[in-house]
Amino acid sequence: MDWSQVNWMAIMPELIILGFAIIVLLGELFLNSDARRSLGAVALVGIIIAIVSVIRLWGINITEFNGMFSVDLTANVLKLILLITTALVVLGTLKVKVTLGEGEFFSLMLFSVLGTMLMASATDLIMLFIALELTVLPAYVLVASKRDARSAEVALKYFLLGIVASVILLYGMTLLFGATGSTNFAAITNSLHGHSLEPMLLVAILMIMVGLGFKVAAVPFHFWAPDVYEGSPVPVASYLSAGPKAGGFAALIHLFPVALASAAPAWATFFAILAVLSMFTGNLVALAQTHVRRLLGYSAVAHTGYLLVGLAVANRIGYSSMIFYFFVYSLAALGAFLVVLATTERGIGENITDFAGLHKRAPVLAIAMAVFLFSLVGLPPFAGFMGKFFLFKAAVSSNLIWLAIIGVLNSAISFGYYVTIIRQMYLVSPESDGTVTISKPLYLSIVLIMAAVIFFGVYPTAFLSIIKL
Amino acid sequence: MSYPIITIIIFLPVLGALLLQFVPRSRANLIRTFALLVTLIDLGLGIVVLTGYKLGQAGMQFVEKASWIPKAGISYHVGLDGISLPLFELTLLLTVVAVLASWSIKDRVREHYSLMLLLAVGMLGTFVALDFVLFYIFWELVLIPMYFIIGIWGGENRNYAAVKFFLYTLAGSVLMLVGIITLYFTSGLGTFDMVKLMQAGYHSQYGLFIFITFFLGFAVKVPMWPFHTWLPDAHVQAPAAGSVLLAGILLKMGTYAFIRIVVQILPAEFVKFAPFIAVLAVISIVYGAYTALAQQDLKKMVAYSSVSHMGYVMLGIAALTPVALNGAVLQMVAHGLITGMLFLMVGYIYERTHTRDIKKLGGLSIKIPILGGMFVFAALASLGLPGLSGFVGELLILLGSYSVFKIFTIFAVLTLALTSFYLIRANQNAIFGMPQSWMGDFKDASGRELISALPLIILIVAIGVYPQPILHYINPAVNTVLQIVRGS
Repeated sequence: MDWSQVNWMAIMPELIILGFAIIVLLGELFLNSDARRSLGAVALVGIIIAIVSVIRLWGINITEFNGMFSVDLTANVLKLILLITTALVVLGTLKVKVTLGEGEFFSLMLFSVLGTMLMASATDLIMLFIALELTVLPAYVLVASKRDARSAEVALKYFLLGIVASVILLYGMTLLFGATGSTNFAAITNSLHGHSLEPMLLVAILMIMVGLGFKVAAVPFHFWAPDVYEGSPVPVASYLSAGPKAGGFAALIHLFPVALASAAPAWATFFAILAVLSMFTGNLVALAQTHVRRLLGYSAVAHTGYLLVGLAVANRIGYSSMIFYFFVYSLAALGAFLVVLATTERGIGENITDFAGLHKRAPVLAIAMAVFLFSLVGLPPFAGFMGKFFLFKAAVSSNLIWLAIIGVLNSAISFGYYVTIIRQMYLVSPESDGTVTISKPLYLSIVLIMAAVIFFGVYPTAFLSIIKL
Repeated sequence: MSYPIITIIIFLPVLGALLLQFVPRSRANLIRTFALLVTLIDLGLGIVVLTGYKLGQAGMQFVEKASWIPKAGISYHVGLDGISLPLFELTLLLTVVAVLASWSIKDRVREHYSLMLLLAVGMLGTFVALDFVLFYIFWELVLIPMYFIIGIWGGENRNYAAVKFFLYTLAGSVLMLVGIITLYFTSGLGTFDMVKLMQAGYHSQYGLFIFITFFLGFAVKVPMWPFHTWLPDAHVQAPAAGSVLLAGILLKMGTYAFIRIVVQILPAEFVKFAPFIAVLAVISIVYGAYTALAQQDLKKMVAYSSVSHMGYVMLGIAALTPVALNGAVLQMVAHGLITGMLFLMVGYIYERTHTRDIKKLGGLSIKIPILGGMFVFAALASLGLPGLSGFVGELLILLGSYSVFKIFTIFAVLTLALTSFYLIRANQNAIFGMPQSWMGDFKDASGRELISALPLIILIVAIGVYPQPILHYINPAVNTVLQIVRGS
């Protein structure tokens, strides 16, 4: 191919992240320990520049690199969500002692972000697979970075299960290639058009679903998620709660509705089943949790279930609702993790009972946490309500009323465990009276998220008009 | 009208709650006064609305409409008619009463008043919302503040009661959300606008499904037997002001929603299931009264009496005759005033005696004659003494229902005797008789407590003696409702 003909604008945000990932990594090598502390800020600047360059690509459709990479509205929106949530994680972590060298830590995070961004733009099976691996490999290292037994255990679990998932995914892709003779999404679409669903293709679809199901922690492929959320360092868990998941959902949105469009009735049913299993398992098991991050881990599984409703709907409204829900969910989940980060930084434990009387010790943290949890339940006037509203509206519009009913009942169930944290924060007296101080960047990050959760709950049009829902 | 007065009334408490955060926690009296001021201004604006309301006109007045989420057919749309106006005004009044009633709260005063102001937003909005999504949001908005009010300032078992209250209402209302969305897609109008949906009439095979979801959502709130079990727990544990608003306003949200939404948007389904609703209503009436009879706890007794009294309202709605429906709306207001006052008095008595056990009380008419007397007054109003507001509402309901549900109405009439029995027994044991030996000296009603009860007493007597003015508001709206039902 002729490199001079390539439109480099299309891949500019990715190049910026790549550049900053390398700069930050080099900084770790060459700077003294004082200067290294500012590497987080460097990473943040990189992400912000990348956000600007994504916005500059708004409304442009480009396909480059022989159809392997394309920029469109969906990809841009997902990248924006990913970059914004990662920026908030980095902002929150600026004054926090990270578990690796600052340079290593933030550059690994940026590499993972790069993988996710590529995933959002991938329009080729090979590209998709490489991007996916780039997303998760740094994540394995980050999870293990605490270097204690628990961290090592969950990292190994995450790694082994992740590898198995990747292998299954890869095998599914091979079969898909065998059935269609191409790895390019557009070519696959053409080749499948008008053909009946062959058994080999069905097997391929199932294997791809299993592989991606692992990545987004859908039941029954969710076992790693609660462990990883609980056992990894808190900043890493915060990042994992939003970032890499965006990649998984980007892959799902690109692969199934685009490349496998003609097989829609089959996979839509599978996704409906996965959605129901994930919602019930996540919510019911979360009811029994006593560790805050483990609880949030199961809640994440349940939310994967809600999100998969969008794929079960299998039309454009479903996917846009899913993206909107993903946005409001990541905000609230990330916010909750950052509150946990703020409390653990001050030596408060991570059992739900350790949050006793938080309203007295840290009023802003408690209010923020309550807002995030109410949003996760899906109560108005918070963004989570609008997310669920549009998601279930999409389900009803496709005659999936039963799925909407299961969804809303699960929201009601989920209140049962979110409220245990709220109860500790507001209804129980604190065991010690010490005020909890929070570092300024973390405070800023949490307050920004809280403002966004309320803003998009009251005025969702701001986001909906962007994704053209 | 030049300025959006309804919107100002709804959201003024939000502003109040925000400003309250700038008052230092230690200045408890300033916080209380400020909250009182906000609710009084709101009430004042409410009176402006009341005087500006054009009597005898059908349809919505003070309508305010703005585009909100145009892509989904959702608008910000509020307005009042003769059914919502009395409840809207009642909410404004009882909020002031509740602010006065919780003056004695010493713990976390700023949080308490902030939550109470936020609660007012949800309650007020529910009665004026004319867009389904807006209605749902206001409907759910009351849950969070009420959860905290019961959970933080409640009795010993407050956590259980608060969660139960929340979960019951939430489980009922989330299904309603699916019903609302289904209505949106099957009405063929592509709008969540209630007024448009009422006018167009709804005909679809999904009517039954939507009816069931609405019924569950609203029946939990009323509450109708067998969905009532959250109510006694919530009431017993809630602080006095919480109970006043719970019984006075929150329950009315359920019955109001039946009239506004189920009757007017799904008239065919409602008429079909009216006998079924009447059966549940009568069971609520009888069951509530019998259970109240068995209670030793004054608050629990009043709570079960609410189940019984709200049963009358539902019976009136199910009958769908002009007289019964007028009675049902009037009874909502009357019950809000009377039960609000009963809970207020029980609260004030409890603050002094630290017990609500009917057996342990006694001789309160000697110890605290003013409070005791006011309790007797409220109890008499509650049992339907002629000349007080409870009588008018119940009489109209029973008169209007008899032609439709003869046997049910007879049951309802007979239960009135039971109602008298438990209320008089409570008066006899708790208020009259000789003081118990354990009792020390109690201070009688303070000026603040008197002022909080005074508007309730005046209105209970005024409506009881001369109900015509309020019926002038209600009747045209009721006729509109019945026209819609007949038209279907």
